[in-house]
Amino acid sequence: MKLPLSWLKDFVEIEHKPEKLAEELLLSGTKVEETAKSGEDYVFDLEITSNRADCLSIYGLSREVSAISNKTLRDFSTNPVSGENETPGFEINISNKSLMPYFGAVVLENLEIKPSSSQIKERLQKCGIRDLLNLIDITNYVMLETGQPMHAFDYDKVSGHVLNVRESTDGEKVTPIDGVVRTLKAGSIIIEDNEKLIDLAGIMGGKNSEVSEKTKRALLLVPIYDPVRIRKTSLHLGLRTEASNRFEKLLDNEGPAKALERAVELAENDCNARAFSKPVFRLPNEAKNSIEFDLNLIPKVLGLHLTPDQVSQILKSLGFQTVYLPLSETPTLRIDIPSWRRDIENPVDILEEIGRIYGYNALPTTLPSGTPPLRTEGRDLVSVIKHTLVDWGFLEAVGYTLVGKTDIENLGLDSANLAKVKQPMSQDFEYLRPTLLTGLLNSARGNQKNGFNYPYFEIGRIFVEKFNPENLLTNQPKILAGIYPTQDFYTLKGLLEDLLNRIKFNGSLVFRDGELEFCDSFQTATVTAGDSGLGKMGKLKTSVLNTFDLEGNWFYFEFFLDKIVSFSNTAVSFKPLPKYPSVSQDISILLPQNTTIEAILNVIDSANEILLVDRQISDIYTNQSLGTGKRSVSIKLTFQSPEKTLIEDEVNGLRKNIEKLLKDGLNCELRS
Amino acid sequence: MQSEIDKTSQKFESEIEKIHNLEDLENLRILYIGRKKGILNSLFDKLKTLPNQEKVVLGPLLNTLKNTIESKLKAKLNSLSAISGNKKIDISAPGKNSQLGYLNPLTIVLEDMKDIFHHLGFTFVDGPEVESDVYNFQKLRLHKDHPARDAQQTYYLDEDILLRTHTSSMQIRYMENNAPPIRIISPGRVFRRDQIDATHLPSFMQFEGLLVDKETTLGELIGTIKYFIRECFGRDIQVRVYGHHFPYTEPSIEVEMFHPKLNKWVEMGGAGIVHPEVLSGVGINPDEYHGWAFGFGWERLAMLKYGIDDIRLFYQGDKRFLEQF
Repeated sequence: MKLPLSWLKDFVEIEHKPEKLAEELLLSGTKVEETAKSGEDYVFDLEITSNRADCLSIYGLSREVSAISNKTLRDFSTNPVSGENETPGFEINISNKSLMPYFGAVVLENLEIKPSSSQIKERLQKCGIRDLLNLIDITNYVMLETGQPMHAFDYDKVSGHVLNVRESTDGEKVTPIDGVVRTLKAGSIIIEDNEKLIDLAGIMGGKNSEVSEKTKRALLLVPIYDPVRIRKTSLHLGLRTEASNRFEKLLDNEGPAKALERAVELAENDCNARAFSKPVFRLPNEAKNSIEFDLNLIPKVLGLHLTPDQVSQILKSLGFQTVYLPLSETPTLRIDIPSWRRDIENPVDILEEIGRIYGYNALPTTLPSGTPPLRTEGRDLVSVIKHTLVDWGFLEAVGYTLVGKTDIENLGLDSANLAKVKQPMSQDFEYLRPTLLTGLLNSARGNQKNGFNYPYFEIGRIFVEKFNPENLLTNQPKILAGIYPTQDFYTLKGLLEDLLNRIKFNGSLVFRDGELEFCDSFQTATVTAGDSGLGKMGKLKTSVLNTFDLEGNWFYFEFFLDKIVSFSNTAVSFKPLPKYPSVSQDISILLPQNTTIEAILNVIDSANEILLVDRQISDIYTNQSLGTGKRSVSIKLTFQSPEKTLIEDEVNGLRKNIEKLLKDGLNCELRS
Repeated sequence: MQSEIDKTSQKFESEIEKIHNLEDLENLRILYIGRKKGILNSLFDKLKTLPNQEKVVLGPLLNTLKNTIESKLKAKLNSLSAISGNKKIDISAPGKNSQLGYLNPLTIVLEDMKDIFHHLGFTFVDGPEVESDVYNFQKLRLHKDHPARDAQQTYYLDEDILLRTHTSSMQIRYMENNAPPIRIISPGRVFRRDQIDATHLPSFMQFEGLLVDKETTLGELIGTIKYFIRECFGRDIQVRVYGHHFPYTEPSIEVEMFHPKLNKWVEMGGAGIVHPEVLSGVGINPDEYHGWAFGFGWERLAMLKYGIDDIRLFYQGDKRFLEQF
């Protein structure tokens, strides 16, 4: 909303310099986004919040200025309109009262339509509205001044002199004054005469009934429309005007009265107009809205101490009438809410009025005085994971949630069952990412082009499939994923095991053959602990790396964050250090290549030998000399007793037991 | 035998003078006190064959010789090791660095915030990015046709499921599952349909704060925000608030700080007293409890703090960007 200070001065004295006034307006809730100089005058460009329709007017803003600078507000005085004729000369039929619950209307005759006077032109221009012809300009002028939009029809173009206000049906067409035909959906408010549609109500008048230089008589309509329908129509058509911006908000239902009188007065002066008759008004008949305000709320919620008088004064300056009720249980003010403040519904709205006029920056400020709640967060394992990876040389990526179809398909994934937004801004930001990989690859490529080869990780949400009310919370799990530049599966496997060690992972981690669409078959693993699927890792396919323009060998891993964290054992129970030394012996076995390490370890573990405190694979050796399809595996066995130092003979015996188990269970040969 | 002991001693003394490296020293050691063929070994063997009177005298002498030789060998070893370690090196040559990784500055800012807000008893919680219209709007008093919600700015997946436009939905989720007193911060991604440029992306990050207690005031809200901004940007920073409007808070305010480098007031975020209807909507009695909330831009905070000029940098993973923080 543009506010020329010269216009403001019609209603309130301005004491401060423009910068100071702008600051005062800002602090009280009306933000001045820009100040422009226009000759001797200044024009503020204001941001008006959607709850303050009353501030979409010069008079409403004058009221604000008078309240914040403690200056008297001049009355907005108008004179009642009268005309010679008994009947108004028109009929208004409203199919459903809610469409246009209140209005004022009058016919003006004897019109001389021509360009406006310079003052009106200048003021409209300063407010960013094009001047056209005097009567049209007056409707815009009064809209800016009072906040009440209105429309003038060429009376002689209104067939039957009747305005039928109804809802549109699907597909009805209207041509507003900009000349562009619009197709309506059902539910928009339209006005038609005996023959045709003449108004896209609340948004733009019809071209077929607009005022022109030839107009001799006009029908002035000052309406209140159903804000919801106006907004819906405006959104649907993508058409927003100064009028519709006001009509879609809660206007003063009594507004049409003064606005009509003001418009007629200006038309009498500028257009030589004469009212045909007294205006027809339909105005509210309800009792004034009032609120009982518990004064104790002020110290309780604002943290401020004011006397009832101080409070009354602030509210009066805004146009609220107050009555102090000393006999009520708690000190109470009965406050009459003026008709132009439809945003005031309950006591907290009054608190805001008091706070913003008093000045929020004058409130005493403290830190929360209550007792903090018990802390429910455990140890910050996400932080441990991030810091560990970064210390090991990873860069932390933060990827976009929305990705393009191309990136998804380049990974070999099918986009058909993925969640996507209905109106993407571009094709690159359409689907909700089903994996963190695309962001990781794109980041790595960027760095490679600059000569750096870094591993990356990200912790973020992925979106598994399309959403519905049932899977809303479960379909967006948090994932830890990363890519690592290596050709060696075991390098990454070791790193992941170390990482889980860092968060005190307490479960038996099992790596088995697995599959990922974008990884090579024989170098991909699923990672589980018990029944829980924790994640996967695998070597990225060269074809995928090529489409992402990434060179070299890269591995990928992903974990469900909540799952791995759930295995973190922070309830550590100290085990006393062993009293007696351990003894290690190595065994080597020759066995078929496709017998897994897992199988070997399972056999060893099945011995349930208490004195075997550790078994480590110390070497895996393949060579032609061993025979085809065979490999040699060396295992270091560590024995220890809590009661004594084991002697060589005992250890040999224990080792031989294990050797026998392996020989019997795995069809292997012992090598010395 | 006595003369053999003396001769051995003298010979050793002269030979050890000539030793200048560790290899020769080791050979000398083996020669004299090597287990199998050392000179002293054979002397001890010979001692065994002597009559007792001689053993009693020569034994201790031989032992003394052995100890002397051992300690002199040791001393020589130490001094040779020290010398070889004292070769001159170029101290200014580069150290062997490992390739360190870097956190995204958003994480660094988050950890700073955790530090600041943990101090005030706040807990950090996370919530869904895909939300229902009910939690993102309706329970925050933004009913279906409210002018404050502009459909062009929201990404919808279908009629009632959308990408959350603010972290305020977490206020509702948390309050529905936790009784007061409540102190939470919820950082996370939010989504708006905006033209993409240096300061706008389809998604960005916010963090939400919420406090609900039997007693609390707007003064505590502003005090908390001031405290946080000053801990983050400097204890002398000026902070001001002004009136604004959000459907879910009343009174509502906007917060600005005076940025010393940019030399102007910059917007930090919005805040306000939780609207009583929002409280009663989640089953908290607004006559018994009061609450306040705030929402700040997370990247914005990092951009203001570090002077970063393009929001896209957070998402590109460029090492030359990350290593600066």
